[in-house]
This record gives sequence, structure tokens and C-alpha cells, in this order.
Amino acid sequence: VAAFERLFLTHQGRIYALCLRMTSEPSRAEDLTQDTFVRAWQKLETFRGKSEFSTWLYRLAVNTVLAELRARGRWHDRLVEGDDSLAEQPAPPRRSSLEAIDLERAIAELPPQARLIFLLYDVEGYRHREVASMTGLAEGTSKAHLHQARKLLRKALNQ
Amino acid sequence: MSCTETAKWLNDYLDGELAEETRRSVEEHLGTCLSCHRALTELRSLLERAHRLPTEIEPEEALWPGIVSRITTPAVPAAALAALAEIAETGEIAEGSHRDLSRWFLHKSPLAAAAVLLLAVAVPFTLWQLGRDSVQSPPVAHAERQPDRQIDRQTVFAEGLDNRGARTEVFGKRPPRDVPSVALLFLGSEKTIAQVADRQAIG
Repeated sequence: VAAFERLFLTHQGRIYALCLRMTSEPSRAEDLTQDTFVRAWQKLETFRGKSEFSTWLYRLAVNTVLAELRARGRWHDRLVEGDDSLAEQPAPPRRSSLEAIDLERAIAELPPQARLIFLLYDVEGYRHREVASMTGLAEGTSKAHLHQARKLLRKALNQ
Repeated sequence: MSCTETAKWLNDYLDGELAEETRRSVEEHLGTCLSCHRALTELRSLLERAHRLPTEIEPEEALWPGIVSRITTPAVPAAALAALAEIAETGEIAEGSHRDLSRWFLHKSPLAAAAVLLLAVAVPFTLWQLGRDSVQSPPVAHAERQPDRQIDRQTVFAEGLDNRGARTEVFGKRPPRDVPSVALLFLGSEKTIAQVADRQAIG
């Protein structure tokens, strides 16, 4: 358990950042972060070392977030055509510069699929093949969501 | 290349995913079209800002205590142990206690539930085999039952009581015939415990 706590301390910030950006709610993000680490503990024996532990853990976090979004029926939410208004104003993550806060707010307003792909590709630096593997989407679909996310973000940031 | 085509390739251009020929065509157009060049600058700026976002955010609350409590649950929680002891001692169980037991077995520790299920099958069978081997021996102290004596798994194992013997120890000399075995009592299913409670009420 002590060794697992060290892993938790090393990775919790990255997992929490994903959960917070995907939910925009600190309490839900905390729950999802905890769920991710509990699942990691339960599945530790299935980690074969083929990928880095951080990648394996991040994949678990993505699955946990996806399960939450699907359970809430939010995963397939799409922006209504021509409606780029932002109904909610979720709290931005702390410790961000003003410029980053603008971007965080704009990201929070993206449809869930586009938001997740943008976070994985443009913020975390995963490639489309990895993103597709993590999310269960086709590479072409992943790419389409990324382009949509960038288009919406440019529009939001230029307003 | 037209502005529409360039706009279509702009993301792939910045991501370095264009074939050489297409990339050159895009660059040629960007060199002559102010509007497309501005779009490229905006997109590049967005990606640079995204790359600068922190990839780690510290949660406000300490999350480790909530995790460690979920991953270091004792093998048998105190509530379940108390419920087991209660069954062993009195043959019945207070309202609510059975929930502690069955919830833990069936939800918190399905592996343990499986193990106990195996025990529930294996122990009576083994004891039955032992009983067959010692069929010539005098009956095990059924008639000498001590009313205040507690019965538990250790007693069952130590004295080689079969199901009937164990039930007799718990319920007296004339146990109801359909009271489930001690092994099943340890499984803690609500139905089993309800049956026991009913029998006790009738008795």
C-alpha cells in the first residue's frame, strides 16, 4: 500500500486534471480520481508492463470518465448546429493564468467527445492511434472531433 | 490550391500529417493568401496555448484517505464477524446484522463469497464422509448437549459434527428438519437467515 501511495502521489495531479476538465465539477472529479486509483489497485495484476504505468493508468482514467459520461447520457452530447453559445460557466481549474482561464472555459464548453479528444491530443500529446485506442473511436472519428474542437475553440476565443 | 482546400488541410498541415506534395501546395497558397495565413496563425496560437496548459492540477481535498479505506478493507469486517458470532451463538440474527453480513459477502468480497460457498459444499460433504467412516462409533454427544455452549466453525471442525450434529448444537435436540446447515448459515443469505428466524419464532 505504501508503494501504491507513492504512485498515487506521483500521478494524482494528472488524473485529477483530466477528470476536472471533463466534468467541470471538483467534487465529481475527486470521486472519479478516487475511482480510477481504486480500479488501478484492483487491476494492478493485469498491468503487464507493455506500456508505461502512467499510460496504463491514464487509460483507466479515460475509461472511468467515459463510463461516468455514458451513465449520465452525456457522452453523445453534441453542439446544436449554429449554437455556439455557452450556457454554463463552470469553475475553471485553479492555478491558471488569465489566458489559460479563457482557454479552460472554452474547453469546458466543448461537446464531451470533442473535449476529450482535444485534451488527449493537444494537451496531453497522445497521437490519433493512441487516442482511438483509449476511447474506442475510429482514428478518422477522433480526427474529426479534434478538428471540430479546434474550430469551436478558435471561434470562442476570438469573441 | 483554393482557400477552401487549404482550410481543409490546415489542421493536418500543423500536425505534420500531410504528404509532401500536398504540404508544398498548402505552403504555396499560404504564402500568397493573407486570410488563410491569418487562420494558420490563429490555429497555431491555439495549439501553443493548449500545450502550455498544466497537465497536472492538485485537488483541493486530500484524496488518498478515501482511496486507502477502499483498498484496505479487512478480510472480514467487524460487523460481519459480529453477525457470524451472533448466528453461531443464538441461531438467529438481529435485524440489520444480516445485511452487514450478506452485503459484505455478496458485494464487497465476491471472492470470499465464492470461497465460503465452496466451504458450504465441501464441509458437509467431508463431514458426511467422516461420519460414514465412523458409523460404528457411538453418536457424538447429541444427548449431552450443553445449552450454554457456543458453536462455531472451529467446533464443527474440531468435533467432526455433521450437519445434523451442528444443528442440534444450535437448536436443541429436535432441530427443525429443514433448517439449513451451519455452513449455509455462514454464507449469510437473507433467505437462510429469515428461515432460521422463523423457526426460532415458532420454537
